[in-house]
Amino acid sequence: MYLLRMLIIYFSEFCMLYTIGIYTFYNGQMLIAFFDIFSYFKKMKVSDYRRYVESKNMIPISIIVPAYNEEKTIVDNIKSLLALNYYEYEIIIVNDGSNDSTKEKIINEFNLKKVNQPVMQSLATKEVLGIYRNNEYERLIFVDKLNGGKADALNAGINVSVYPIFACIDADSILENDALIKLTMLFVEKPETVAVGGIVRIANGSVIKDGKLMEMKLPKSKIATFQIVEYFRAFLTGRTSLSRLNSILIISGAFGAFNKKAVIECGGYKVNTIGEDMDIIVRLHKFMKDQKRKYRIQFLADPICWTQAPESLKDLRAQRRRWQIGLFDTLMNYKSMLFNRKYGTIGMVTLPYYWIFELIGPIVESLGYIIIPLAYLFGLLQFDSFILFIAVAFMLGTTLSMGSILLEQVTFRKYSTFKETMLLVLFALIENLGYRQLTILYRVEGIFKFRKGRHSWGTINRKQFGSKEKEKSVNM
Amino acid sequence: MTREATLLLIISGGLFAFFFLAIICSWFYSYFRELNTNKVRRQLVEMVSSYFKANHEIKPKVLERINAYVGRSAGRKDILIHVLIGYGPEFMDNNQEQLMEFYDAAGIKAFLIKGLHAKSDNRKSLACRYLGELKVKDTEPYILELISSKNNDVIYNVLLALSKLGDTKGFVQIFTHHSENINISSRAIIEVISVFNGSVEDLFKQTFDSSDDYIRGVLIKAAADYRIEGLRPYFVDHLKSDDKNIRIASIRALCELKDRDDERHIIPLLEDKDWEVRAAAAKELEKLGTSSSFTALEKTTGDRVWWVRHNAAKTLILIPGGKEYASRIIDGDDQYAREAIVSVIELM
Repeated sequence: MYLLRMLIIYFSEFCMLYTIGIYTFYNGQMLIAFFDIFSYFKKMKVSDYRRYVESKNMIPISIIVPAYNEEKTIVDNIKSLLALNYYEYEIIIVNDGSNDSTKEKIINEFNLKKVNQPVMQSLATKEVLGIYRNNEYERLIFVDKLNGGKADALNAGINVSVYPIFACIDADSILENDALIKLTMLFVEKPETVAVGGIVRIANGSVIKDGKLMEMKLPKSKIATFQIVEYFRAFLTGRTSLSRLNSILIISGAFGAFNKKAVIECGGYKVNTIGEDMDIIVRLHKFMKDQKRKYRIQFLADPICWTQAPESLKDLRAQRRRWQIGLFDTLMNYKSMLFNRKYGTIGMVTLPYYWIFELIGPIVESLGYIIIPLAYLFGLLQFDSFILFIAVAFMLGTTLSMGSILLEQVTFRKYSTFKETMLLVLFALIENLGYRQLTILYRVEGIFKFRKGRHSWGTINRKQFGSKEKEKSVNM
Repeated sequence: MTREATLLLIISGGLFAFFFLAIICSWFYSYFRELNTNKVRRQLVEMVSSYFKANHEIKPKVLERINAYVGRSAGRKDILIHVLIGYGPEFMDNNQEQLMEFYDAAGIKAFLIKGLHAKSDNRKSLACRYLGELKVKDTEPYILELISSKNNDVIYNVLLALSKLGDTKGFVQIFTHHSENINISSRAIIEVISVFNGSVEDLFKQTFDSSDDYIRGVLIKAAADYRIEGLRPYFVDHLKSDDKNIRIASIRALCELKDRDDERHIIPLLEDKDWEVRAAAAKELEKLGTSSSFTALEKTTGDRVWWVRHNAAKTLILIPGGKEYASRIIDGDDQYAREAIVSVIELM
């Protein structure tokens, strides 16, 4: 009993210190994010990016879209990509051995013919079965290959691409009109740029027509609304601040642009991993630092990619588990960078932060949820102290969300009505009354299923954009 | 422990209350600011429009009204500037004299010149930008003073302003004496030159020989789009440059002139030591190639670099009579050349 008592007391103290640490870090991030986004806005005021939309002089870009069993949406997505406002680009659709009619639909719709186009094997991939083109759609290249996973499909796309910059876009994402130009501007302005990520926002509930977002609305699904608040925290605050320190470790697989040469030099996307989007960024950092090269990896909170968030707990669980496994896998693969001064801020700040707060955090938090009530039940904690602990955890969690909503409110104001703003505030409040604990649980599950799940993909059901009835299965 | 928790609760509670109030205040602030901005814009659009429509007797009265309305407010001045920019470049060119009078009388010129001397790089950039957009004459010397800035946005906007003002002298000065200050990408420089409001031919002639290799390469690249016959000797001359980027730019610029006589200058470059130059020569020959290029292109379809082979094959197929000539290659022994030709034919 004495041992248990001591354990609980020490754990409570550890919890308190851990909480202070994590929230100090997060609030610091928020402060940096505020400054960064404001300076970005000032910069955009004098930026000439719109001129480049029609310019022959803009960096040409290859858009790589890995597709696996996307028969329901792929044709519309290709059409929307063909209509993009950009002077010179190519769209490379990589069919990663789909076992539905994805391939047939694309070939029939665009009347593609198999061509004998030699492919420069810069990166090793599963066998490419054929390349299809049609002169009528000069920009479109369809690559058919054996199944090898998303990373393998991206590598195949890189091999086929002809332009110096490539963007990877999920097959069911929607880009804002000038998203691509804002992303590539950075390669023009800062030639040392090797990767740029754009913000991913949740499209659930919004009005989408012909592959374009017409009106932004909050989703009806509570789970999706919670995720909007979460995304504010993760993207607007988290990624923006890390980007400011040139130590961002994740560029979302749904929307990012890369310097092709740099990606090839460091070996391309890592196959057989669940977190290929994080892996490539950490590897780029490592490679550039090892080579002592000047480079830049940046996240921009403005070029927007719309995506669908899971609306059921089953899908949310699969997603969060997958994210945690991907995080764990990448952190394990690059543990040599941890606390290594050679890697600067990444080795000394960012990676320790990811290990201590993002990876281990869910375990500490869930233990806190178990041990502190137990301490109260066993009489080791007084009622007022118990309530105090609960109140602190609740308030701190809510504060961060509120800060992120404020950041959104004073910058982009995508949800412009007062009602929507207050609804987001309400969700920031009630997020800590169950939803947060659930996601923590899913993440802990991800840690424990790491060995088993790091090479597999969860299946998530998504509604088609602009449709309420149809559902499709997407490999996430 | 309880004391620390209480303190933490007070801090987080305070932050929560602050953020909550800030969200509400910022929402209302944004809402009313937007309303106010729209109202000011509407008023100014109306006043400016009546100023340009008014005759000489009424103009001063309208101007007085505008000045009284704008007053010392930087925000309103900014909206006024945007209203004027909204008239578009054509209007600026056709009403230059009238506009200059307006800029002086409404204090816009003085306001923007003051902006050039601001501490903030953003304000400097913005002032340059507006001076260029509004084509405010006689401000070039003030803009040129900023060329020593270490901020790329300022440099870009200085170039852009001078470009829109058509200041050849200023441009020449920058490209020949201050090129070390230009740390912006070649694409950005070309974009700036593309809006140049003076004689581009004069600009190129005065800068080609006296700028450094980097700027020269960029200028030749930019010149390609203008297809200026008078620049041919410069392009031909620079095909022999030691810098591969200049050679590539010169190939493109020369081929843009689409004069078949220049084919003889390009063919030797199919054997250049740098593959990028060979690839460019093979690609650009499509624009002016004749049967005289066939033999050289046939040889290039067997080049060791895929891009060079591909470009040579494509050009060969596209030159009139080339497709028939290429059939010889398909029956030949060179596997690389054969593959290059076949893949191009399939795409046609």
